[in-house]
Amino acid sequence: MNSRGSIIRRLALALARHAARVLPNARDAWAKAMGQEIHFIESDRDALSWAVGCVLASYLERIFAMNLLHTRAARIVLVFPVLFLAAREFLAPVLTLAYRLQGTVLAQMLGSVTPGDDYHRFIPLMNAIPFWLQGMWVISGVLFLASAWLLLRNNKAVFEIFILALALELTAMIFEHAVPAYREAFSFPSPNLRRDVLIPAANFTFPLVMAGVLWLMTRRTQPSS
Amino acid sequence: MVMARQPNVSRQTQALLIAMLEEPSHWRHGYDLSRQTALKSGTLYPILMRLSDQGLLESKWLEPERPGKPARHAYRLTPNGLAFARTLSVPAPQRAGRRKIIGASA
Repeated sequence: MNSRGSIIRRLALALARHAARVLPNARDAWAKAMGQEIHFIESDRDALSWAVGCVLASYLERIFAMNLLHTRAARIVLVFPVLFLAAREFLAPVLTLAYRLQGTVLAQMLGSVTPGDDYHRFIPLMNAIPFWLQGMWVISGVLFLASAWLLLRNNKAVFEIFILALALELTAMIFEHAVPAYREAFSFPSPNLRRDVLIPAANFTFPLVMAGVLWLMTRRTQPSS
Repeated sequence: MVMARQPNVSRQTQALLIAMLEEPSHWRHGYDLSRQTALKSGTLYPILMRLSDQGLLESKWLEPERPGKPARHAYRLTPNGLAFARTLSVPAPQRAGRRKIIGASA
């Protein structure tokens, strides 16, 4: 074992100790079990990987034991991101409607939250987007609203409805990217990390994370005591 | 009191149960199971805990085989766990009794 290896091994052991502290008291034997296995792993890298997994497992068990996700407060908090997803789906159809009906004030207001901060750049896109694609966004938005309502009602169907909305959104996204005007509307003269990378990445991963949280809420039963 | 969760046979749980079915009378260690099933510890241990809570898995501490090494936690399937794992290793239409077996263990 070289010096670098021993540092990795020490880090693995420290992580295992941390995992043991995080696990609920009722899981003491399991905490010890996970940690002891490190002594039987030859490779330092494998030991570190094992320890990282132990930490992950410990935090998951801790969260389940706290049962946070099954509280009314958690449901209320989670409704807001679901409502945000619904609002995001309605944005393009409402903007298009406002533009078509000459609702300039509303169009400008909605345009200010789009990349480029101006709805005029989307006029060719709004003209090019077919009606059925707008319909998909609206249906997806309605389904997100329905899942927010089911979440408040503590109804387990929330996950299925949310996934349906998400699937519809992702399908619409595929068709949307195939529209040439879309690529023109979202091409900018100068690159911008926040606009071009961070926000699209967050837009894509956020609903997936939400789906994971809703899955945990609906698939895990509550502790018996 | 430990957590009592609904049986949820994920692909990973299935892989673990089938791996433990290979030598059902042998006590198995976490790292060995991890290597056999390619499950990371972060996936493996929550499954082991859940199976134990459901009465499908039993565990005990084994004395170290080599001096200087700590005691090791070992696992094997209970009779209910064995019956349940066997239902997973047969084709789907023959799994009718699976829920009944789980119900008996809960």
